[in-house]
Amino acid sequence: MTVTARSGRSTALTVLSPMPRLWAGPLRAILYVRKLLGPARDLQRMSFIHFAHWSVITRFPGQQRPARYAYLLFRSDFNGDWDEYIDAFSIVIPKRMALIWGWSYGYPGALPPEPFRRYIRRNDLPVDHYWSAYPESSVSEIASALRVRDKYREHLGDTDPADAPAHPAWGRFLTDVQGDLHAWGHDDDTAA
Amino acid sequence: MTPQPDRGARSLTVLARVADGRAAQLKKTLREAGTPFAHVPGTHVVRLVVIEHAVAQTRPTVWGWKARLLDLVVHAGRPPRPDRVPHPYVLLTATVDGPQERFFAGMRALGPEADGIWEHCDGYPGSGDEAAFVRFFTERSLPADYTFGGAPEGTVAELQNAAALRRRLAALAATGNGGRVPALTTSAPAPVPQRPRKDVAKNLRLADIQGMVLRGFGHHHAAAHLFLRFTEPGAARAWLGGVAPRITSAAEVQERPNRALHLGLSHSGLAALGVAHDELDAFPEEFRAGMHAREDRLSPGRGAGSWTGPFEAPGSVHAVLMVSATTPEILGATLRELRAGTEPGGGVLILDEIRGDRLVATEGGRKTFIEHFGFADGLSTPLVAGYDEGEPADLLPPGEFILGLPDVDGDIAGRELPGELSRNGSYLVYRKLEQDVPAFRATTEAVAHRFDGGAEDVAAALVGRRRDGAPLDRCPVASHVRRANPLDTLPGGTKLSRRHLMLRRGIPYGPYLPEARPTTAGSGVCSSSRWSATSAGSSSSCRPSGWATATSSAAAASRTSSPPPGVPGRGSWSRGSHRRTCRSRARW
Repeated sequence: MTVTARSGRSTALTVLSPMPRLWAGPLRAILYVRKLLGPARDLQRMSFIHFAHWSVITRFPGQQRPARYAYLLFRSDFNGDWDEYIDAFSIVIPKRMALIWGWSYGYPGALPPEPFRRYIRRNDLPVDHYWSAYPESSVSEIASALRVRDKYREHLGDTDPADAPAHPAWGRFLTDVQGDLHAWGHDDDTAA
Repeated sequence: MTPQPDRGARSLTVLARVADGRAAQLKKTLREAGTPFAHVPGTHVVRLVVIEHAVAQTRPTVWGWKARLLDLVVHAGRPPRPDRVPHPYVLLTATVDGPQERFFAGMRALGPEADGIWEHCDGYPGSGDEAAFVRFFTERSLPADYTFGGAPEGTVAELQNAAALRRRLAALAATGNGGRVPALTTSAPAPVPQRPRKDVAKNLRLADIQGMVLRGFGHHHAAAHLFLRFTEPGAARAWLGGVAPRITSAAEVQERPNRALHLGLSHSGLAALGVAHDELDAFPEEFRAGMHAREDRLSPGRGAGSWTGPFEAPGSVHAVLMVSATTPEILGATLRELRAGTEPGGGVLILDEIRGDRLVATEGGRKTFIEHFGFADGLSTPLVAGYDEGEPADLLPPGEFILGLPDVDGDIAGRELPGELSRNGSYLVYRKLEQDVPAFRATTEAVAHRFDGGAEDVAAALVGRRRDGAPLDRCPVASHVRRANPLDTLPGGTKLSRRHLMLRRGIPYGPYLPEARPTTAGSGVCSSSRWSATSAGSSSSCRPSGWATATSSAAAASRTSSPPPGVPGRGSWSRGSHRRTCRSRARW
């Protein structure tokens, strides 16, 4: 198994998969249409992908002649378990995955999940250096944190957090954001 | 130019050619580098990968007809030719705030640290000249064709500040001025037991499926579980051949037999019986490795250190025989018959035996089975399509639990497994748990003053149910029942949780700790319960604690609300002698 890089709760997945050059154009067109359609709602609902990035490479920088194959470079930063991530992808968007990876050699289809997991695992490049600016925060925690911040401003304005519990609005604020405050994450993460 | 991604942060990718013969040195430098990018402003995430070789592509060995068709259309059935990247490259890919040129310029401030990395690349001008430095990266950057950001928009500083504020406020709220929790309410009734359909679906071959897969044996009050080791393949097979006809099948369940016998075989057990290597290798990794080997991942921070015999080594147990009966007398007689077949030299050795008994609570003249924390036991278990009555949305395809049948993905469960060995079998997780009853009671008492409903409400909030089984109206996300079935709170939603549901069968062991006993933790009196679960279909179901220990993105849990009964948890109540192994019942 290849090394999957981790920084705190963030995991890196880097896949470079070769495909016939013939399909580089169509794939670019698909990705372009995808971009025009805006962020995918169902992917956002999965709420554990920090970032994902797709590039179709037909010529490596500095290369005179095109490479024998075109390559699809996919990188993703997500939080949580590797298997869970691949599982979620394969069950939520199997058709879209076929549109994007179907051109690559060896793509076994998103379902059933086991061969697909093996495929991704084999193609995941070992990462030599990985760094995340907020390693202990999952995507949903970031969303929670921003909601807490906005609600705090709304209820307590510029009050110093140290004085907040004495503030008359503290109770209302807590009632409002309890769902966002409670999710602490891993036991070992809360030590911080 | 990198096009504008769909949120404020941008994604950039740079591929720089590594000078001949320098790849190994560069890899070493990168692996030993500290955290240089912490000093580059506006960096969300960054990674560096030295690409020396392309991954060799092979055609899949197991694939559905759709993937086959796709392969035919896209590649005309041609396999990939051997492939090499022309030179080694170092890939820099990052998500940053603002234009990529600003990030490159920021990177220049790293000075010698940047030089230490990119001096291994052809054409690197050094960090002295800003224009040349930025041009080096800009010329080698690749456009992103599509990017996606899942987290809400914000600069690195904004996100970090908000996270810090939230941590601080959460700590204040936890220790704050003692806000009270209003009394918890229930409106839905306790779940009713499952009812089987009048006509069972034809694809369920009940006579070939073990009874406990489809039904618990609620009327059985006594149980004994024997852990076996095979010492000689021929004799063990002969013994197994004698036991097989006595195993309780699902066809017998409706007759409410007064005794039942179920059998599970581990991967090492199948090997000890002489199953061929290629057949053994076809099983998924979870089953092949066994849970002992994987416990560090399943139960992070705890591992298998606390496991007791005979589970202290991977693969040490070859089979489990689960015997249950309506009365201890019938159980005793059944056990005597079984033991008679395992004399020394008979190829089968009994390593250990565990006894279990139902705990019964009588309330208002009505008897209910409870577990050691005093909650009604054996509620809410998934319904199997074709066997159970229920709303279509609640029914799971039988392949989720029985190999060889359709599963939620529309695939055949265990398609890659040797059919003769696996068909109508199921994966079984066997787990023995210890419940620290004094600690549970002490904890509920300790915070009871914060709850209008007192200690009872604390216990109900932890479990997600009242003691009689009635579900809470606002079920806390960290409660036990929610962890066992996260509904739509996990990535992938209900669709994904449906793929991971397990049928649970369990029986408590050890005496019930009377309420009057001093409830100080660590008094040395621990009651316990045993839990086993079956799940077939995909091997992915065979790792329950991925949720129950839980804390991926959505179902995160607080330190103070770990799961109580029967769930492999991180909490202080279920610590202790976890023993567990993962096995399949095969067909003989």
